[in-house]
Amino acid sequence: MEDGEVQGVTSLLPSALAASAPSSRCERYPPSVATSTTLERRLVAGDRTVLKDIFDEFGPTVMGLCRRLVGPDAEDLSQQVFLDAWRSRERFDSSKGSLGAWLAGITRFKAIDHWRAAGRRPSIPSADAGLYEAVEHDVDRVVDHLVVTKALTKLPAGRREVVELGFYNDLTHTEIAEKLGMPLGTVKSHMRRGLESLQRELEASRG
Amino acid sequence: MADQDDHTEFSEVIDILAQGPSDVGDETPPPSVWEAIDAELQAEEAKRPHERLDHRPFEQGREASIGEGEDYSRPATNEPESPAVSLSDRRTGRSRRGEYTAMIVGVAAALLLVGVPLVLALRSSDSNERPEAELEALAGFEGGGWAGLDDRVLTVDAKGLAPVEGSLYELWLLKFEDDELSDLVWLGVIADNGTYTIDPDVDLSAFDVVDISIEPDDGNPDHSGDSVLRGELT
Repeated sequence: MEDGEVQGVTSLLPSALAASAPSSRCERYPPSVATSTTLERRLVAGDRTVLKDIFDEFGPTVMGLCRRLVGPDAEDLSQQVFLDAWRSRERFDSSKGSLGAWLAGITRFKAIDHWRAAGRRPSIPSADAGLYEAVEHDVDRVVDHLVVTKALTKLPAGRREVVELGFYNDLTHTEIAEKLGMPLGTVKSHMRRGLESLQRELEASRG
Repeated sequence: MADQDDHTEFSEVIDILAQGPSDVGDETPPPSVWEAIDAELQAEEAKRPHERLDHRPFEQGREASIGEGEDYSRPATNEPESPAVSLSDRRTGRSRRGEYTAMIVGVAAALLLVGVPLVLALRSSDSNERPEAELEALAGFEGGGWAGLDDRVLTVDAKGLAPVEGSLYELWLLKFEDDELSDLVWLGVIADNGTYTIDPDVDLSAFDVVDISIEPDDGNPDHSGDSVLRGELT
């Protein structure tokens, strides 16, 4: 990615401004929450070039999710998701959840809208309205499931292991403590913090 | 999970975890998806300058606005978002024609003009002399100045830019079409004089009005609407 150079300003700059004149792209953006990623910072700062990078990072997941949610209209829906992400970038709040969860939320609402619009077509008999309600519910179920699964993979190793062993392997806290050679209290703490993080991501994907 | 009664507050997440991992897999989007996104955003960016003309404070026409000291009705501050916003919303480096915009949040003056080398046709003037502008005071301001353009370097010398607590003077190039402001680019901060290199992407035959404004140091990069000096490069 090209680096920018400050070209417009070569004259008298108040010293505070001169000190802040960035020499590389990374330095352009103000420091923000320690946990937010570079992509998130660039998005919030309005860097138009970040969208391609976000697309590269999240495109396959969004596309796969759209395929599951709307089938043949997946390409179109994916396009709408990223356009919406750019246009509503000011609404992204990294303190609420990750960029991935936010994109999943946009996908959720776009898919629901897609099915609602389909339901309103005159050729669909009103008796089938219930079908589309079921589909909305299914959209939520599928998106929730993916968000939690992805969030789990992003947990720090200790918490991830504990949650996986507890839920995918159905072990008790004590069994986990034995298996991992960890104090029981630590296991419980990891479990709690892990579930809290997953809950947060889930909520962030619900808007 | 065997101990799940310990975590009833997370019952929803727990129910989801109990289903095992999601089987929704990734799918590589075809190139057409990104192409469509990019095309739509570029189309949006291209049409914005014309959508956002504001006739204040230039409704008296460009001729009157240069050097005659007419009284301008200034745009109200804290103008709500409207399709016609005058000099605001312009801190975008390359007046939205570039490939990307970069905005610094919270600092009034740090716009980056990124150069992509282009063959630029300079103003085809019948005179071989370099373009110069006499900067005249606007709207009750006392001062004046001069600007000269050598190739793509603008030299500005201004008088009367008294320091004001909490404000900065900033330099712009304005583009007028049919006597209406259609676009502007920010060049930097000015105290009294300086030289400014103009981004190669800026069409100097179109952006030929030098403008100095007074800007509150409030982190808002948009033109305040309060121009103090202005002159046309001829």
